[in-house]
Amino acid sequence: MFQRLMRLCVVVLMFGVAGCDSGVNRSPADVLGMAANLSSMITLDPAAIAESLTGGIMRNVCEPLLVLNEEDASQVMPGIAERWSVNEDFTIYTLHIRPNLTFPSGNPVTAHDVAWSMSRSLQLNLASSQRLKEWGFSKENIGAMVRAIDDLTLEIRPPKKYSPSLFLYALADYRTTHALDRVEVLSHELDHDLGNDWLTRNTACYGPFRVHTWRAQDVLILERNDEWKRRDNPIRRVVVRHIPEPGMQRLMLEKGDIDLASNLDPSDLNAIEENPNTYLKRTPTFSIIYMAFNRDTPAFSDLRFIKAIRYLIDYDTLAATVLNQVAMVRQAPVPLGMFGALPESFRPFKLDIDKARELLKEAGVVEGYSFELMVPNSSPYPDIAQHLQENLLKVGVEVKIITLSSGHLFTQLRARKFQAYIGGYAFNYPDANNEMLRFGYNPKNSPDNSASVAWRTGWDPGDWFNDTVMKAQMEADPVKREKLYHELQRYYVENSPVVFLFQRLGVRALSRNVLSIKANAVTLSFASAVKKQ
Amino acid sequence: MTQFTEDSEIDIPQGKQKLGTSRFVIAMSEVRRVSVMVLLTLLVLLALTFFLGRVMPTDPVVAMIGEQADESTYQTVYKQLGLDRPLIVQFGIYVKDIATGNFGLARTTGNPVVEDIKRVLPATMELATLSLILGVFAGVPLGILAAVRRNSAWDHVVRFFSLLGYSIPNFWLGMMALVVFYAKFGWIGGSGRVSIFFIDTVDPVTGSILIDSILARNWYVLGDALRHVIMPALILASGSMAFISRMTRSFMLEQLSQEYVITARVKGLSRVKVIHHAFRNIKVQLVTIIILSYGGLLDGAVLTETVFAWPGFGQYLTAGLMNGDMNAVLACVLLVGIIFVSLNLFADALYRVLDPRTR
Repeated sequence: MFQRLMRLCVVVLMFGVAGCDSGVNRSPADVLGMAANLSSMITLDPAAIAESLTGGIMRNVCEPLLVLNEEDASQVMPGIAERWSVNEDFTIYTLHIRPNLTFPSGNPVTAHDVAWSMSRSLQLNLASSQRLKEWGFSKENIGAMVRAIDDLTLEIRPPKKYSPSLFLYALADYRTTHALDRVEVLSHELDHDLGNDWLTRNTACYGPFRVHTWRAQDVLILERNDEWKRRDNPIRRVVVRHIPEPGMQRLMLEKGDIDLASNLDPSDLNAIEENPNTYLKRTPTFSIIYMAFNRDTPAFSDLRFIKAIRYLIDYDTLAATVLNQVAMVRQAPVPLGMFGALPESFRPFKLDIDKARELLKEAGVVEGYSFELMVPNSSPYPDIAQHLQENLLKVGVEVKIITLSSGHLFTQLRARKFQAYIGGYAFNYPDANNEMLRFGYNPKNSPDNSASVAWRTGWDPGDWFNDTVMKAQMEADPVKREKLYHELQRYYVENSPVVFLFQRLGVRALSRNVLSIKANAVTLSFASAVKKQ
Repeated sequence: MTQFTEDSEIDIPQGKQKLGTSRFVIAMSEVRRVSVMVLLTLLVLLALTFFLGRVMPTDPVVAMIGEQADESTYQTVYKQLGLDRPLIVQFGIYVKDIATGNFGLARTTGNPVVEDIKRVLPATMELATLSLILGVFAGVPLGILAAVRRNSAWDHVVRFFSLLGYSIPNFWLGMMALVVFYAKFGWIGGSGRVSIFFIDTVDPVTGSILIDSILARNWYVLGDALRHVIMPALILASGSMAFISRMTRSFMLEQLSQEYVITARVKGLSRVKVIHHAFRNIKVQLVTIIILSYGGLLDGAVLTETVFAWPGFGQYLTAGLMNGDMNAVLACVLLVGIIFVSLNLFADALYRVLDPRTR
């Protein structure tokens, strides 16, 4: 019996080894295999999605009214709506839904579905509701402001006379204007949850792909939606596997077991470029790396201290080493590629230890002063913190670095229980308004505004700043708008307790099997991928 | 002194009956005692995990809504999760829910925790079972060899490899194995249970991809699954192999120094027969440590699962901890507790079966 069992084991193992490189697991031409760290992907409900990776993937599943150009996020293109118009005083946006679109259930995509989905988001008041609230929509006014005129016509009356070039970006955000299959979702409603529980694990959207399988912390499989006929979509299936380790992603890419790796370490990128079977695709993102100081700590309320910090960072060396190929120096608040960004040449600070020492002396910071710096435990934050720690030590200031998981860090930030931190922030639409609202606008300086970096750092930017942010939203003349954002940014850099460091690049490592794929600052278009036949 | 009467013979069956009844009563009281102990252990375990989880610095609300949500959204979700109630009330509700089989929803997956565990546990069991088989098949013979050839080169070699198995961290071993055997030679599969393009190509029946692929007669997937499981299983087995071989050696040495072994040798029994006799007497202890090491493999596969991106129990628990998903963490901890208690009870029961003296 025992011998038989042993023989069986040997046969099975030999069979397994014989399977090596049998060629059957090579990437098929119509399947895109991708590795990503899916640990933060916890829901498929567009009303509850809170982070950018899921957002980037789900843009391939849930198309909004308008979409951003696949290669240039600043251009707004038709999405579910094939055309749109704005009245003369910018108070009414009329959008015409494409006819004959259907959801996976077979139900038609209508203007009623879009209006209901937007209202649903506000009623649930989950993560995405913020995207509507920041435009002035509320669950009380949404019914009057977003109305389906008929099945294919949607009328949106924004609460303010926003600049059309700005407000169109709101309509191109899938977390704001997605279309959910109302009938299907409501058929799965539990305890008046508007289908939230069901949509956590399922989708009922219209887009180039449909979710075939999703197992959180494991795998996401998308299937081509053959009803989506905007253009040819050669990819039949996308398999996104949860591979948290960047090293593992690299090995799998090099072995040809995946086509695309999305979370590689900077140290792996040179090897990818040198490998004849792989290459890199870089896209600027709207994600920044910054450092912020809590003004509840007395030393940080002196702007000379913050300015000294700006002179204690060797931006270029960091960009060439720990951030090699994954980020570029950006000292202005608004990332490049966004409307209203200051030019690339805006770089007022460079490493100058003597100047920093002088500023600290003026600020009355004594030798041996120390503070705590919190950083997320993921690359590249601890390296940046260490760099600053070394330079601050040269001017007699000691930094205690505390590394935390992102979740723990956010908890501390919301509670304003920190002295200083280094963090990242991803913006979702390419207009400086996005940045100014999140980082600067803080009219009441109250905990109600706990999502704002200005409140978290205890910074009251003053009436001029708050009023100008509101004024810029309404300015129809793009030249004047841009000028206002430039002024706001210069003021911000001079007066806020926030130090801007870098702008991230979206770096995807690809197998040579993938001949081309398009990506913009917020998403990767799976439908645009072309693979070797 | 016992008085025998005429009725004594008639009393014997009654005595037997009484004896049987009293044995039954004793057995039942033992079962009750063990059940109460087990329940108390699990309750304390649950309470400790629950209250420790609540002092964890990660806010589950923030983990769900992200950094950008406003205060009103925060409060909505805070209430939805029941976090506005007193801690003791939350614990009471939780215990009441799990008593009815409701372990709640896992926030990291959106699924009922029980469904998640049903999905991830077979992946870990597959890995742990294979590791145990490898550990036993390598560890027991090596332990016997080391004991029989005590202080010889064999003994030193076995000791050396056991020490390696104990001391080299699994995650390092895993990464090295991937670099050498996967990236360099291509002998084994990379991460996960199957290659990315084979995912979901066989229907899940048992949850074990090896068995499911055999049932589906999909030999490509079987071959691919074997290539993927073999290295994490070997790495996980290295620890249990080291443990089992050291314990086997120790048990065997104890037996080999017993008088009955010396007598057997003096009587001229062959070495193999003597070892066979000695081995029979260590079976009970050996079974116990094998069973206990299985428990260790089941919950100790966290690092191996992380390195090999193995979608199992360990990875699920880790993700739960990182995201402050206490429903998932509590259920996992409870399950580990149940597994350990069950394995201990099972070992005790086997002890009684294998060793008549303990009956």
